[in-house]
Amino acid sequence: MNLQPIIDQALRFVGPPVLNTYKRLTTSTGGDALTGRYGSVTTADTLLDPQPIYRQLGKDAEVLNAVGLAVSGTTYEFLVSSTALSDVELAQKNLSLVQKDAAGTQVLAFKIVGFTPVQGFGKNLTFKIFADVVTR
Amino acid sequence: MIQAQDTFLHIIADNLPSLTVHPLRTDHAHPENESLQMNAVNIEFTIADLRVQVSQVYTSIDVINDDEQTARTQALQIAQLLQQGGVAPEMDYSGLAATPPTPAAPTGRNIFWNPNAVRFRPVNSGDSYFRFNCTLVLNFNNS
Repeated sequence: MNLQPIIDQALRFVGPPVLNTYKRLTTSTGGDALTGRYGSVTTADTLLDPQPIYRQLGKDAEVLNAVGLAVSGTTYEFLVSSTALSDVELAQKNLSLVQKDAAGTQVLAFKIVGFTPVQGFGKNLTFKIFADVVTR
Repeated sequence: MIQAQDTFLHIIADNLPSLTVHPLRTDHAHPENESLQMNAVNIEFTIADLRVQVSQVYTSIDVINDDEQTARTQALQIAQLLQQGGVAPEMDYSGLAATPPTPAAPTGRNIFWNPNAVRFRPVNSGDSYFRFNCTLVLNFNNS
């Protein structure tokens, strides 16, 4: 049974969100990584499709702290379809999330602090991604 | 201060090329630098005691490895390197990011530390890794 199209459809039904969420890959070339003096730093933003739903954890953070996740009440939880992001991409440390408004202006940038897959029928269906805002 | 820190990172990385030196610093563009790395020598600069002439920055060296004997061997390598002398010329590495890059240049100042204060102790070591920490005071001149 392939649940993925149903999950993607459900995420699209709940949306569209107020802000669009993008995955951001940061690539640095040249310079000296050891001292943080990079030659050039480029970012590539890709709109997540379907768009994730998200919320701030609030008091649920206490429960997640108990299982060892370093999150706080202001940490965001994104429910992302595995169609939009793969576990291979999530393993890349240069991956982050950004949110932009309808005009494409960046509003928030996030640092991913942890993720956990929701699995079924032998595959990752969605990921719960925990991320902290770094731009305010 | 940045030049002193850069110099210390390069002293470890350049003289012990078999080790993976992982600098720890807040850098949102490079989040990989914001967390400890397994099987690496993690170096973080913490408390800074800044003065008119000679300043100090506390330097935390964390050797983290999934094999305790490897971690202890690497710690010994670092200790032997730092105990060869307690002083090194401070270098300016800012030219490495230029186009075309220019080599590191001496600033005319020195960085120095107490070679007899290189003491590693186990910290929060769980079953899956061994963490060996040394906190060293790095001194540098401001002028």
